[in-house]
Amino acid sequence: MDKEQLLKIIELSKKKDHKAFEKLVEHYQSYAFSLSFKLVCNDEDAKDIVQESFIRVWQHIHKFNINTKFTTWLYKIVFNLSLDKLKANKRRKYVAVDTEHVTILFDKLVDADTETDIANKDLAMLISSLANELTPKQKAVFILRDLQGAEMDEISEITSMSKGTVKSNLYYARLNIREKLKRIENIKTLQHEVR
Amino acid sequence: MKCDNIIMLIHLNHNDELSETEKKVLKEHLSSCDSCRELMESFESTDSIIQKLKNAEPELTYPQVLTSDIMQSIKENEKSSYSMIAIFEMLFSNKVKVLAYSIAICLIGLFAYQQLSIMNKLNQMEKKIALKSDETGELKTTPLIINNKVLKEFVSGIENEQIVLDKSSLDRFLESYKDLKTNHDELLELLNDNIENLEKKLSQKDIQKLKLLLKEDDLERNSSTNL
Ligand SMILES: [Zn+2]
Repeated sequence: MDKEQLLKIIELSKKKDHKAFEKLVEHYQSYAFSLSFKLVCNDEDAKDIVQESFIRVWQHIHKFNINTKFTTWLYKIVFNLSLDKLKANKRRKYVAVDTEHVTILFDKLVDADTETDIANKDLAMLISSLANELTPKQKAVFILRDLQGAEMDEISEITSMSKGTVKSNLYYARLNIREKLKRIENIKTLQHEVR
Repeated sequence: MKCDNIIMLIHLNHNDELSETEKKVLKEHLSSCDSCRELMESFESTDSIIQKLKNAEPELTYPQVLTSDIMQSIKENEKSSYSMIAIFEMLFSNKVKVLAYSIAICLIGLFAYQQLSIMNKLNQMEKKIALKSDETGELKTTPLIINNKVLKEFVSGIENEQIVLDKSSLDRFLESYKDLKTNHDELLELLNDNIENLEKKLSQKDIQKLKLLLKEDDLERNSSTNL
């Protein structure tokens, strides 16, 4: 969808045109799902968040400023709802992490080509085991930056954090995750040597 | 520069993450420090794993179902809000409507009355600020207790731990309630009862609280996604 089409659809949606809005949903729902899934690591919750997000987009579309990127605006809503979910689920472990299975998954990932085809369940387990020591904000910044490839300014906008806060969260996230990956790699090398 | 101070830069050296100066500092340090260079190189393999994870996208199963669920709930939301109005229109006869409206107007009046008393307090507070500035030539800590969200409307910012009031919005607000008839004696009594609260000095905690309120407000204004 190019920018002109998008603006037209948004214009129509502002006039409460259901057909136009449906096109918007069709086009952007998987984009929203990608972020919410990576954040909450659960299929059903991620879908609920996408649904709730688009309801809010519909309710507030008249406030959408055409000078901002639509995806940034959408991400901001998805991010906030996902973070609420993460905080609500803080007490219980969201994905039961099976260490042995995770090790196998990481082995597969290390050996994989650039094109990676991983089942949702496994992807959720990989992400949650990688990020299990991070705060929700660190996790979110890591996901936005390193898994979704968002720009620093955009992340600052989505998360409502200052650039400095984004940076420090990203730093702690990477420090933790890189160390963790190194440990996993070392174990793998050791296993090879033993064989 | 010490390696400890470089480590953050090493972890944030992708594209636009570092400023030009930071990039320069990092480059200079790496050219003379083997251990930091090795550390940075060791991330190549970990980052390639992250890159592969980045390429793995979750699959959205049954996208059509999700779309139609979303559209369904939007339509239902609208229907229910329409029907609320319809029920209101149908159920209430003219007499009941008049009664409902008068109650509403009474409530609005009561609210306005409370707002007005707050405004008066603020006015007194402003006088105090003025007095203080006359005595000393500069503004001192404002005596104020922040326990009302309404204040948010009339505070434009904080400078050097001082609250800066937005004079024009205060004036506008007072102007809009100019014609409201209030019992003056009662109002004074109410003010006297509450004035003690205003005597308290602005604590660090209050400043933080207010800053937080102002920040929230900024978010609302900037993003329109305070949902
Ligand atoms: Zn060094």
